[in-house]
Amino acid sequence: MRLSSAKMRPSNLRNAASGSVIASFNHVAREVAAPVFLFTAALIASACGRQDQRLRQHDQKLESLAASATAIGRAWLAGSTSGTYTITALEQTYVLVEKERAALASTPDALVDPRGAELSQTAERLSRVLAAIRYEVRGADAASVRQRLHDIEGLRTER
Amino acid sequence: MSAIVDLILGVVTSIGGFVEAGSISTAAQAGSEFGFQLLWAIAAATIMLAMLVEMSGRLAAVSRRSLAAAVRERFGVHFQIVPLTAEMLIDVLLLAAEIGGAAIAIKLLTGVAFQWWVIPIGLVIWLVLWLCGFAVIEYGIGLLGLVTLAFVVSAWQTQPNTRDLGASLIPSLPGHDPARYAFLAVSILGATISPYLLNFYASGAVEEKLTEGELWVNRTTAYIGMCFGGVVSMGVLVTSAMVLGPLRIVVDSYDQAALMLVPVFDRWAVPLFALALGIGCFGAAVELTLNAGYLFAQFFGWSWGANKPRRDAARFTFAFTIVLVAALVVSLTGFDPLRLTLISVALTVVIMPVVVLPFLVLMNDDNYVKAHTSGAIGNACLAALTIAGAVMAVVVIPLEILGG
Repeated sequence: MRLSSAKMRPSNLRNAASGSVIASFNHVAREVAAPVFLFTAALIASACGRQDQRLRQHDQKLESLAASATAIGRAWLAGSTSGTYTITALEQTYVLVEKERAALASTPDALVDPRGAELSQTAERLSRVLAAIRYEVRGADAASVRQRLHDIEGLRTER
Repeated sequence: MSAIVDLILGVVTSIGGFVEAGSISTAAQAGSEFGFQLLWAIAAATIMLAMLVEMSGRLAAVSRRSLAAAVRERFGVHFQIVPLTAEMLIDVLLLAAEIGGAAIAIKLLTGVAFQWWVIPIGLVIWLVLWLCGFAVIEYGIGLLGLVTLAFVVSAWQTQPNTRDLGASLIPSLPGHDPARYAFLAVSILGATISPYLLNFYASGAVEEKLTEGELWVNRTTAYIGMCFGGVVSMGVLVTSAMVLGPLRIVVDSYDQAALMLVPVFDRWAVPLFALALGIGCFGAAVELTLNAGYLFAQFFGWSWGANKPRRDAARFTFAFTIVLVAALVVSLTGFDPLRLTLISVALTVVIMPVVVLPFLVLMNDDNYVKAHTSGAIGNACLAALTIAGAVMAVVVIPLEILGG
């Protein structure tokens, strides 16, 4: 059978037609697959980038809050600030740390990431230390406050 | 002699009245996060503000009309609804932020939660407006505001590198977080060039009966006063950069910002910071409330004036009372005043073109400013500000999401 005559039969025509559809589909799929793949990869990369950026922001924020707590505590120990201000400022710092922790907890992806989980734990420990310092400043217990500030330094160096 | 006294008082009170919640918060954040790198934004915004304030004073002195009244007359009521609504909305938010800032200042001294101070502060604002004339409001609060010079003293004492300071007056790209850098730059512009200041200044000039012969007083007060005021704002940024930056403290609350004065003022640091913040915010709150009354009264054609007996300007009094109550309600929600300030200054940028564009037209209309129309430089600056304002208005919301 000549190829040309086979082409002319109706069934072959149908086959040829479906074959060309498949071929053109394959062609289109090949054409589309690359951009889709690239787009998906870009999305995943940007999601990872966003995640990295978000974690870095949380990290910087916690570092800033730990540094603030240290500065507030040291100023009180040096007699530069009143107990009233120190307690108020520590309370505010505590609120901000808790906000950071809540923000971390609100994105499960961040907590699945080991760095996010570690940040969440650091935030929790920082909150506890802040609550303790606030209590000790109220009791004018300078020695304990000094120890707590040392703990915060430990938290900062651990990270 | 009287003109000289007015000039000195004007300059001194411009310095004292320059710093408020917006400028303290944006400058403190900029300094703690980017060192001196955003000084150029304060310098540029201050020059623009001085120019705008001089123009609004000139318009008022020559036409005997405030900015809002002139816009209504020149462009019609239908046009003015847009800027009026936008400005009123921003005024309420800014007023709530300033009241919150003043309340935080008292909290720093007493330890009592800021929400408890919101209504007492609102009451004092209302009483000041009810009992005092324009001169007492302007000069009294401006003179008290000189306490903000503590930031300049502190910046001087921390001995920043003058070469670095000079270099930062030229815009440069940040080494990190470009979106945040851009957001802070736009916020500094928004916090400094508050549109309410233009109508407030023009209305004040009408109240004080500034004449064409005193235009030199207006010009000198605007340029010298505002430029020295800008130096106070720069003092906040430099102190924050020198003290909080090395400690890696990023300012997220006024409590943290108060620490910036500790190395220089020691046990006076927190009281001085609280006084500077409190007086700055209180002064701005009084001006915003008064300006809300001006805007409504000038739009509807009511009798207005802080110097008039209240019974002769009853609707004007009622208008500023309503706006004050609205702002108090916003403050009482307990929304963080610092965040409210940053949102307000970002929105201020959004409305800037709507306020500046009609101003550009008015300053070239000799029916209003006679022979004192703006020159080529003034027009170019105002046009540039309108275009820059339009661009910033488009980018500020995405920047707020990315870097705010």
